[in-house]
Amino acid sequence: MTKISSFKKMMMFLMFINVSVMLSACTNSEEVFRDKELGIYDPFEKYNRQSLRANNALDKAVLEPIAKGYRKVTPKAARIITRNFLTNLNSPIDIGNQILQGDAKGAANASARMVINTLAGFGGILDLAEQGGIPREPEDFGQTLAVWGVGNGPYIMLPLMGPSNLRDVSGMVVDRMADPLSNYLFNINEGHLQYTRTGVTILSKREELIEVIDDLRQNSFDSYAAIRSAYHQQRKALINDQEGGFEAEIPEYDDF
Amino acid sequence: MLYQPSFIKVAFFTLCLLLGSFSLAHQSAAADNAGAQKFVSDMGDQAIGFLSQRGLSQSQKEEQFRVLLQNKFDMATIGRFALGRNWRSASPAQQQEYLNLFENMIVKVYASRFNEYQGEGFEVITAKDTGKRDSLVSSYIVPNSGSKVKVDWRVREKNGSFKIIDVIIEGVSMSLTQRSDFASVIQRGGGNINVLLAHLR
Repeated sequence: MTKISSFKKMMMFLMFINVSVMLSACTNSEEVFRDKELGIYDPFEKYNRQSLRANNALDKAVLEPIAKGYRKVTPKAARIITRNFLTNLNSPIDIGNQILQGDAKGAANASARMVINTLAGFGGILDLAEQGGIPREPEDFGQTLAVWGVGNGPYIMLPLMGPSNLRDVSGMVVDRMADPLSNYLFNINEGHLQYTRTGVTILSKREELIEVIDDLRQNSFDSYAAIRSAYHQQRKALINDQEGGFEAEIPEYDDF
Repeated sequence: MLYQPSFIKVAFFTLCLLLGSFSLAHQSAAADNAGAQKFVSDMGDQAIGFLSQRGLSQSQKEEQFRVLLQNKFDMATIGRFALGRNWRSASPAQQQEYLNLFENMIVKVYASRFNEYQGEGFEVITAKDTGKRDSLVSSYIVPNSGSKVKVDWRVREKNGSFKIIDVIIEGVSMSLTQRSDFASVIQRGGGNINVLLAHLR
Protein backbone atom coordinates (compact mmCIF):
# COMPACT_ATOMS: atom_id res chain seq x y z
CA MET A 1 0.00 0.00 0.00
CA THR A 2 2.75 2.42 0.93
CA LYS A 3 4.42 1.65 -2.38
CA ILE A 4 1.42 2.84 -4.37
CA SER A 5 1.16 6.10 -2.56
CA SER A 6 4.86 6.84 -2.88
CA PHE A 7 4.65 6.01 -6.60
CA LYS A 8 1.71 8.36 -7.00
CA LYS A 9 3.48 11.04 -5.00
CA MET A 10 6.49 10.74 -7.23
CA MET A 11 4.31 11.11 -10.34
CA MET A 12 2.59 14.18 -8.90
CA PHE A 13 5.92 15.67 -7.97
CA LEU A 14 7.26 15.12 -11.49
CA MET A 15 4.15 16.68 -12.99
CA PHE A 16 4.50 19.65 -10.65
CA ILE A 17 8.10 20.19 -11.69
CA ASN A 18 7.10 19.96 -15.34
CA VAL A 19 4.33 22.48 -15.02
CA SER A 20 6.43 24.99 -13.11
CA VAL A 21 9.33 24.71 -15.54
CA MET A 22 6.93 25.20 -18.44
CA LEU A 23 5.30 28.22 -16.85
CA SER A 24 8.63 29.90 -16.29
CA ALA A 25 9.69 29.05 -19.83
CA CYS A 26 6.57 30.47 -21.35
CA THR A 27 6.74 33.91 -19.76
CA ASN A 28 9.41 35.10 -22.19
CA SER A 29 8.25 33.45 -25.41
CA GLU A 30 7.52 35.78 -28.32
CA GLU A 31 4.88 34.27 -30.56
CA VAL A 32 2.67 31.30 -29.70
CA PHE A 33 2.29 28.62 -32.39
CA ARG A 34 -1.26 27.67 -33.29
CA ASP A 35 -2.55 25.41 -36.03
CA LYS A 36 -6.32 25.67 -36.18
CA GLU A 37 -6.68 22.87 -38.77
CA LEU A 38 -4.97 20.30 -36.58
CA GLY A 39 -5.96 21.84 -33.25
CA ILE A 40 -2.38 22.45 -32.17
CA TYR A 41 -1.67 25.02 -29.47
CA ASP A 42 1.96 25.25 -28.43
CA PRO A 43 2.58 27.98 -25.86
CA PHE A 44 5.53 26.08 -24.34
CA GLU A 45 7.40 25.68 -27.61
CA LYS A 46 10.69 26.92 -26.21
CA TYR A 47 10.61 24.45 -23.35
CA ASN A 48 9.30 21.70 -25.61
CA ARG A 49 12.14 22.14 -28.08
CA GLN A 50 14.67 21.90 -25.24
CA SER A 51 12.88 18.82 -24.02
CA LEU A 52 13.07 17.20 -27.47
CA ARG A 53 16.79 17.99 -27.66
CA ALA A 54 17.34 16.36 -24.27
CA ASN A 55 15.25 13.35 -25.27
CA ASN A 56 17.20 12.95 -28.50
CA ALA A 57 20.53 13.15 -26.70
CA LEU A 58 19.45 10.59 -24.13
CA ASP A 59 17.96 8.36 -26.81
CA LYS A 60 21.12 8.46 -28.93
CA ALA A 61 23.29 7.70 -25.90
CA VAL A 62 21.20 5.01 -24.23
CA LEU A 63 17.88 3.89 -25.63
CA GLU A 64 18.63 3.64 -29.34
CA PRO A 65 21.81 1.56 -28.92
CA ILE A 66 19.98 -0.80 -26.55
CA ALA A 67 17.02 -1.11 -28.95
CA LYS A 68 19.35 -1.84 -31.85
CA GLY A 69 21.23 -4.39 -29.76
CA TYR A 70 17.94 -6.00 -28.76
CA ARG A 71 17.03 -6.29 -32.45
CA LYS A 72 20.39 -7.81 -33.26
CA VAL A 73 20.45 -10.51 -30.61
CA THR A 74 16.82 -11.65 -30.70
CA PRO A 75 14.99 -13.40 -33.55
CA LYS A 76 12.03 -11.51 -34.99
CA ALA A 77 9.56 -14.13 -33.78
CA ALA A 78 10.70 -13.58 -30.19
CA ARG A 79 10.23 -9.84 -30.49
CA ILE A 80 6.72 -10.27 -31.88
CA ILE A 81 5.83 -12.67 -29.06
CA THR A 82 7.08 -10.13 -26.53
CA ARG A 83 5.10 -7.36 -28.18
CA ASN A 84 1.92 -9.47 -28.26
CA PHE A 85 2.31 -10.46 -24.63
CA LEU A 86 2.75 -6.86 -23.45
CA THR A 87 -0.16 -5.67 -25.59
CA ASN A 88 -2.40 -8.35 -24.15
CA LEU A 89 -1.52 -7.25 -20.61
CA ASN A 90 -2.89 -3.84 -21.56
CA SER A 91 -6.30 -5.27 -22.55
CA PRO A 92 -8.16 -4.13 -19.41
CA ILE A 93 -7.27 -0.51 -20.28
CA ASP A 94 -8.54 -0.98 -23.86
CA ILE A 95 -11.77 -2.59 -22.65
CA GLY A 96 -12.40 -0.05 -19.88
CA ASN A 97 -11.93 2.89 -22.20
CA GLN A 98 -14.11 1.39 -24.94
CA ILE A 99 -16.87 1.09 -22.33
CA LEU A 100 -16.33 4.65 -21.11
CA GLN A 101 -16.57 5.83 -24.72
CA GLY A 102 -19.88 4.01 -25.08
CA ASP A 103 -18.43 1.89 -27.88
CA ALA A 104 -20.21 -1.45 -27.33
CA LYS A 105 -18.77 -3.11 -30.42
CA GLY A 106 -15.27 -1.90 -29.54
CA ALA A 107 -15.63 -3.19 -25.97
CA ALA A 108 -16.88 -6.57 -27.22
CA ASN A 109 -13.97 -6.82 -29.67
CA ALA A 110 -11.39 -5.87 -27.05
CA SER A 111 -12.87 -8.40 -24.60
CA ALA A 112 -12.99 -11.13 -27.23
CA ARG A 113 -9.37 -10.36 -28.10
CA MET A 114 -8.28 -10.71 -24.46
CA VAL A 115 -10.14 -13.99 -23.98
CA ILE A 116 -8.99 -15.52 -27.28
CA ASN A 117 -5.38 -14.42 -26.97
CA THR A 118 -5.03 -15.30 -23.29
CA LEU A 119 -6.61 -18.76 -23.54
CA ALA A 120 -5.92 -19.95 -27.08
CA GLY A 121 -2.92 -17.69 -27.68
CA PHE A 122 -0.88 -19.13 -24.79
CA GLY A 123 -1.23 -16.28 -22.33
CA GLY A 124 -1.15 -13.63 -25.02
CA ILE A 125 2.03 -14.48 -26.88
CA LEU A 126 0.07 -15.12 -30.09
CA ASP A 127 -2.34 -12.59 -31.51
CA LEU A 128 -4.82 -15.14 -32.85
CA ALA A 129 -7.63 -12.58 -32.65
CA GLU A 130 -5.97 -10.37 -35.26
CA GLN A 131 -5.44 -13.34 -37.55
CA GLY A 132 -9.12 -14.16 -37.06
CA GLY A 133 -10.17 -10.72 -38.17
CA ILE A 134 -10.35 -8.78 -34.89
CA PRO A 135 -7.49 -6.29 -35.00
CA ARG A 136 -6.63 -4.22 -31.94
CA GLU A 137 -7.98 -0.73 -31.52
CA PRO A 138 -5.57 0.91 -29.10
CA GLU A 139 -7.49 2.87 -26.47
CA ASP A 140 -6.47 5.12 -23.60
CA PHE A 141 -8.12 7.61 -21.29
CA GLY A 142 -6.82 10.54 -23.35
CA GLN A 143 -8.95 9.28 -26.27
CA THR A 144 -11.90 8.79 -23.92
CA LEU A 145 -11.60 12.40 -22.76
CA ALA A 146 -11.52 13.49 -26.43
CA VAL A 147 -14.67 11.48 -27.16
CA TRP A 148 -16.26 13.26 -24.18
CA GLY A 149 -15.43 16.56 -25.83
CA VAL A 150 -12.21 17.61 -24.10
CA GLY A 151 -9.87 19.51 -26.45
CA ASN A 152 -6.16 18.83 -26.93
CA GLY A 153 -4.93 21.57 -24.62
CA PRO A 154 -1.36 22.78 -24.93
CA TYR A 155 1.17 20.55 -26.68
CA ILE A 156 3.73 19.04 -24.29
CA MET A 157 6.99 17.32 -25.19
CA LEU A 158 7.37 15.08 -22.16
CA PRO A 159 10.84 14.31 -20.85
CA LEU A 160 11.64 10.67 -21.73
CA MET A 161 8.13 9.87 -22.94
CA GLY A 162 7.90 12.08 -26.02
CA PRO A 163 5.07 14.05 -27.61
CA SER A 164 1.77 14.55 -25.80
CA ASN A 165 -0.65 17.27 -24.80
CA LEU A 166 -2.33 18.27 -21.57
CA ARG A 167 -5.38 16.08 -22.20
CA ASP A 168 -3.34 13.01 -23.11
CA VAL A 169 -0.96 13.46 -20.15
CA SER A 170 -3.95 13.53 -17.82
CA GLY A 171 -5.29 10.44 -19.55
CA MET A 172 -1.97 8.69 -19.13
CA VAL A 173 -1.96 9.35 -15.36
CA VAL A 174 -5.52 8.01 -15.06
CA ASP A 175 -4.67 4.88 -17.07
CA ARG A 176 -1.64 4.19 -14.89
CA MET A 177 -3.63 4.51 -11.70
CA ALA A 178 -6.55 2.44 -12.98
CA ASP A 179 -4.47 -0.37 -14.45
CA PRO A 180 -5.59 -3.48 -12.52
CA LEU A 181 -2.45 -5.47 -13.18
CA SER A 182 -0.12 -2.76 -11.90
CA ASN A 183 -2.28 -2.17 -8.82
CA TYR A 184 -2.34 -5.89 -8.15
CA LEU A 185 1.43 -6.18 -8.45
CA PHE A 186 2.00 -3.33 -6.01
CA ASN A 187 -0.56 -4.76 -3.59
CA ILE A 188 1.19 -8.11 -3.41
CA ASN A 189 4.51 -6.31 -2.96
CA GLU A 190 5.77 -7.34 -6.41
CA GLY A 191 6.12 -3.79 -7.65
CA HIS A 192 9.43 -4.67 -9.24
CA LEU A 193 7.48 -6.72 -11.80
CA GLN A 194 5.56 -3.61 -12.80
CA TYR A 195 8.85 -1.73 -13.27
CA THR A 196 10.12 -4.63 -15.37
CA ARG A 197 6.94 -4.53 -17.45
CA THR A 198 7.39 -0.79 -18.00
CA GLY A 199 11.04 -1.23 -18.92
CA VAL A 200 10.42 -4.04 -21.39
CA THR A 201 7.50 -2.11 -22.90
CA ILE A 202 9.73 0.89 -23.55
CA LEU A 203 12.42 -1.31 -25.09
CA SER A 204 9.93 -3.19 -27.27
CA LYS A 205 8.27 0.03 -28.44
CA ARG A 206 11.58 1.69 -29.21
CA GLU A 207 12.70 -1.30 -31.27
CA GLU A 208 9.43 -1.19 -33.20
CA LEU A 209 10.00 2.50 -33.94
CA ILE A 210 13.63 2.30 -35.11
CA GLU A 211 12.78 3.07 -38.76
CA VAL A 212 10.06 5.61 -37.96
CA ILE A 213 12.34 7.65 -35.72
CA ASP A 214 15.27 7.35 -38.15
CA ASP A 215 12.98 8.66 -40.88
CA LEU A 216 11.78 11.59 -38.82
CA ARG A 217 15.32 12.56 -37.90
CA GLN A 218 16.77 12.22 -41.39
CA ASN A 219 13.94 13.30 -43.61
CA SER A 220 12.60 16.38 -41.90
CA PHE A 221 14.36 19.70 -41.68
CA ASP A 222 12.62 20.68 -38.46
CA SER A 223 11.83 17.36 -36.82
CA TYR A 224 10.16 19.17 -33.91
CA ALA A 225 7.47 20.58 -36.23
CA ALA A 226 7.08 17.28 -38.09
CA ILE A 227 6.63 15.31 -34.85
CA ARG A 228 4.15 17.85 -33.51
CA SER A 229 2.07 17.60 -36.68
CA ALA A 230 2.25 13.81 -36.94
CA TYR A 231 1.35 13.37 -33.25
CA HIS A 232 -1.86 15.36 -33.59
CA GLN A 233 -2.85 13.62 -36.83
CA GLN A 234 -2.29 10.20 -35.35
CA ARG A 235 -4.21 10.97 -32.17
CA LYS A 236 -7.10 12.22 -34.27
CA ALA A 237 -7.13 8.95 -36.24
CA LEU A 238 -7.02 6.92 -33.01
CA ILE A 239 -9.82 8.96 -31.46
CA ASN A 240 -11.95 8.23 -34.55
CA ASP A 241 -10.91 4.55 -34.32
CA GLN A 242 -9.09 4.85 -37.66
CA GLU A 243 -12.34 5.54 -39.48
CA GLY A 244 -10.62 8.61 -40.76
CA GLY A 245 -8.21 11.00 -39.25
CA PHE A 246 -7.84 14.57 -40.23
CA GLU A 247 -8.96 15.18 -43.78
CA ALA A 248 -6.67 17.71 -45.39
CA GLU A 249 -8.16 20.37 -47.63
CA ILE A 250 -6.21 19.84 -50.86
CA PRO A 251 -7.33 22.46 -53.39
CA GLU A 252 -7.50 22.00 -57.13
CA TYR A 253 -4.57 23.83 -58.61
CA ASP A 254 -5.83 24.58 -62.09
CA ASP A 255 -2.84 26.43 -63.44
CA PHE A 256 -0.99 23.18 -64.06
CA MET B 1 -15.72 -20.65 -26.13
CA LEU B 2 -14.67 -21.57 -29.64
CA TYR B 3 -17.99 -20.36 -30.97
CA GLN B 4 -17.27 -16.78 -29.91
CA PRO B 5 -14.50 -15.90 -32.37
CA SER B 6 -16.25 -17.39 -35.37
CA PHE B 7 -19.41 -15.50 -34.49
CA ILE B 8 -17.49 -12.25 -34.33
CA LYS B 9 -15.78 -13.11 -37.58
CA VAL B 10 -19.11 -13.62 -39.27
CA ALA B 11 -20.47 -10.40 -37.78
CA PHE B 12 -17.38 -8.52 -38.88
CA PHE B 13 -17.58 -9.99 -42.37
CA THR B 14 -21.25 -9.06 -42.65
CA LEU B 15 -20.43 -5.56 -41.53
CA CYS B 16 -17.74 -5.29 -44.19
CA LEU B 17 -20.20 -6.49 -46.83
CA LEU B 18 -22.74 -3.92 -45.65
CA LEU B 19 -20.19 -1.14 -45.70
CA GLY B 20 -18.99 -2.37 -49.06
CA SER B 21 -22.46 -2.27 -50.57
CA PHE B 22 -22.99 1.22 -49.16
CA SER B 23 -19.87 2.45 -50.84
CA LEU B 24 -20.92 0.77 -54.09
CA ALA B 25 -24.32 2.45 -53.91
CA HIS B 26 -22.61 5.73 -53.19
CA GLN B 27 -20.21 5.44 -56.06
CA SER B 28 -22.00 7.19 -58.86
CA ALA B 29 -22.30 10.35 -56.74
CA ALA B 30 -18.87 11.94 -57.09
CA ALA B 31 -15.58 10.14 -57.41
CA ASP B 32 -15.00 6.92 -59.35
CA ASN B 33 -14.02 4.91 -56.29
CA ALA B 34 -13.91 1.54 -58.05
CA GLY B 35 -11.62 2.96 -60.71
CA ALA B 36 -9.41 4.54 -58.07
CA GLN B 37 -9.23 1.27 -56.16
CA LYS B 38 -8.10 -0.60 -59.26
CA PHE B 39 -5.57 2.13 -59.99
CA VAL B 40 -3.99 1.79 -56.51
CA SER B 41 -4.04 -1.99 -56.72
CA ASP B 42 -2.23 -1.92 -60.10
CA MET B 43 0.25 0.62 -58.77
CA GLY B 44 0.99 -1.68 -55.81
CA ASP B 45 1.63 -4.64 -58.10
CA GLN B 46 3.93 -2.52 -60.21
CA ALA B 47 5.84 -1.24 -57.17
CA ILE B 48 6.27 -4.73 -55.72
CA GLY B 49 7.38 -5.91 -59.14
CA PHE B 50 10.25 -3.51 -59.26
CA LEU B 51 11.09 -3.76 -55.55
CA SER B 52 11.54 -7.52 -55.81
CA GLN B 53 13.75 -7.26 -58.91
CA ARG B 54 17.23 -8.37 -58.02
CA GLY B 55 20.45 -7.15 -59.58
CA LEU B 56 19.43 -3.55 -60.23
CA SER B 57 21.90 -0.87 -59.24
CA GLN B 58 20.78 1.85 -56.86
CA SER B 59 20.67 4.44 -59.64
CA GLN B 60 18.62 2.16 -61.89
CA LYS B 61 16.15 1.69 -59.04
CA GLU B 62 16.01 5.44 -58.49
CA GLU B 63 15.28 5.99 -62.18
CA GLN B 64 12.47 3.40 -62.20
CA PHE B 65 11.04 4.89 -59.04
CA ARG B 66 11.09 8.38 -60.53
CA VAL B 67 9.08 7.15 -63.53
CA LEU B 68 6.55 5.50 -61.19
CA LEU B 69 6.34 8.71 -59.17
CA GLN B 70 5.75 10.88 -62.24
CA ASN B 71 3.14 8.53 -63.71
CA LYS B 72 1.16 7.72 -60.59
CA PHE B 73 1.55 10.79 -58.37
CA ASP B 74 0.48 14.36 -59.01
CA MET B 75 3.79 15.77 -57.83
CA ALA B 76 2.86 19.36 -58.67
CA THR B 77 -0.23 19.24 -56.45
CA ILE B 78 1.62 17.47 -53.64
CA GLY B 79 4.54 19.88 -53.78
CA ARG B 80 2.36 22.93 -53.96
CA PHE B 81 0.21 21.75 -51.07
CA ALA B 82 3.31 21.06 -48.98
CA LEU B 83 4.46 24.63 -49.46
CA GLY B 84 1.10 25.95 -48.21
CA ARG B 85 0.59 29.69 -48.22
CA ASN B 86 4.27 30.28 -48.93
CA TRP B 87 3.60 29.27 -52.54
CA ARG B 88 2.04 32.62 -53.32
CA SER B 89 4.92 34.66 -51.98
CA ALA B 90 7.43 32.70 -54.08
CA SER B 91 8.50 33.96 -57.51
CA PRO B 92 7.78 31.73 -60.55
CA ALA B 93 11.48 30.84 -60.71
CA GLN B 94 11.48 29.88 -57.02
CA GLN B 95 8.31 27.84 -57.51
CA GLN B 96 9.85 25.91 -60.38
CA GLU B 97 13.10 25.29 -58.52
CA TYR B 98 11.16 24.22 -55.45
CA LEU B 99 9.10 21.65 -57.39
CA ASN B 100 12.24 20.16 -58.94
CA LEU B 101 14.03 19.98 -55.60
CA PHE B 102 10.94 18.56 -53.94
CA GLU B 103 10.73 15.69 -56.40
CA ASN B 104 14.43 14.96 -56.01
CA MET B 105 14.01 14.89 -52.24
CA ILE B 106 11.15 12.38 -52.43
CA VAL B 107 13.16 10.15 -54.77
CA LYS B 108 16.20 10.28 -52.45
CA VAL B 109 14.18 9.61 -49.32
CA TYR B 110 12.39 6.56 -50.66
CA ALA B 111 15.28 5.22 -52.71
CA SER B 112 17.29 4.87 -49.52
CA ARG B 113 14.65 2.43 -48.26
CA PHE B 114 14.43 0.06 -51.22
CA ASN B 115 16.79 -2.47 -49.73
CA GLU B 116 14.56 -2.86 -46.69
CA TYR B 117 11.92 -4.58 -48.80
CA GLN B 118 11.43 -8.11 -47.47
CA GLY B 119 8.57 -9.48 -49.54
CA GLU B 120 5.77 -7.59 -47.78
CA GLY B 121 2.36 -8.06 -49.37
CA PHE B 122 -0.06 -5.36 -50.46
CA GLU B 123 -3.83 -5.67 -49.95
CA VAL B 124 -6.28 -3.06 -51.16
CA ILE B 125 -9.44 -3.21 -49.05
CA THR B 126 -11.91 -0.38 -49.70
CA ALA B 127 -12.42 2.92 -51.43
CA LYS B 128 -14.67 5.78 -50.35
CA ASP B 129 -15.27 9.44 -51.11
CA THR B 130 -13.04 12.03 -49.54
CA GLY B 131 -12.79 15.80 -49.90
CA LYS B 132 -14.82 17.39 -52.69
CA ARG B 133 -14.28 14.81 -55.42
CA ASP B 134 -11.41 12.53 -54.41
CA SER B 135 -11.32 8.87 -53.44
CA LEU B 136 -9.64 7.48 -50.36
CA VAL B 137 -8.36 3.98 -51.12
CA SER B 138 -7.48 1.99 -47.99
CA SER B 139 -4.87 -0.72 -48.05
CA TYR B 140 -2.67 -2.80 -45.82
CA ILE B 141 1.03 -3.46 -46.12
CA VAL B 142 1.28 -7.02 -44.84
CA PRO B 143 4.64 -8.16 -43.44
CA ASN B 144 5.59 -11.83 -43.26
CA SER B 145 5.15 -11.68 -39.50
CA GLY B 146 3.85 -9.01 -37.16
CA SER B 147 1.12 -6.40 -37.54
CA LYS B 148 -0.21 -4.98 -40.77
CA VAL B 149 0.29 -1.29 -41.51
CA LYS B 150 -2.69 0.68 -42.73
CA VAL B 151 -2.00 2.95 -45.68
CA ASP B 152 -4.63 5.20 -47.27
CA TRP B 153 -4.14 6.65 -50.76
CA ARG B 154 -5.91 9.82 -51.69
CA VAL B 155 -6.62 9.63 -55.41
CA ARG B 156 -7.84 12.43 -57.69
CA GLU B 157 -9.08 11.99 -61.24
CA LYS B 158 -7.70 14.59 -63.60
CA ASN B 159 -8.44 14.66 -67.32
CA GLY B 160 -9.52 11.03 -67.20
CA SER B 161 -6.46 9.69 -65.45
CA PHE B 162 -5.94 8.91 -61.77
CA LYS B 163 -3.18 10.47 -59.69
CA ILE B 164 -2.24 10.01 -56.04
CA ILE B 165 -2.21 13.30 -54.16
CA ASP B 166 -1.57 12.10 -50.59
CA VAL B 167 -0.42 9.02 -48.71
CA ILE B 168 -1.73 8.53 -45.17
CA ILE B 169 0.13 6.01 -43.02
CA GLU B 170 -1.68 4.92 -39.84
CA GLY B 171 -3.57 8.20 -39.86
CA VAL B 172 -0.57 10.43 -40.57
CA SER B 173 -0.72 12.32 -43.86
CA MET B 174 2.66 12.63 -45.54
CA SER B 175 1.63 15.85 -47.34
CA LEU B 176 0.36 17.47 -44.18
CA THR B 177 3.41 16.49 -42.13
CA GLN B 178 5.67 17.76 -44.91
CA ARG B 179 3.77 21.04 -44.95
CA SER B 180 4.13 21.47 -41.16
CA ASP B 181 7.85 20.83 -41.50
CA PHE B 182 8.35 23.26 -44.42
CA ALA B 183 6.19 25.95 -42.83
CA SER B 184 8.24 25.82 -39.65
CA VAL B 185 11.56 25.99 -41.53
CA ILE B 186 10.40 29.05 -43.45
CA GLN B 187 8.90 30.75 -40.42
CA ARG B 188 11.98 30.19 -38.28
CA GLY B 189 14.07 31.43 -41.18
CA GLY B 190 12.28 34.78 -40.98
CA GLY B 191 9.64 33.99 -43.60
CA ASN B 192 12.19 33.55 -46.38
CA ILE B 193 11.51 30.72 -48.83
CA ASN B 194 15.19 30.68 -49.78
CA VAL B 195 15.93 29.13 -46.41
CA LEU B 196 13.82 26.11 -47.38
CA LEU B 197 15.34 25.96 -50.86
CA ALA B 198 18.80 25.94 -49.30
CA HIS B 199 17.78 22.99 -47.10
CA LEU B 200 16.38 21.15 -50.12
CA ARG B 201 19.54 21.69 -52.14
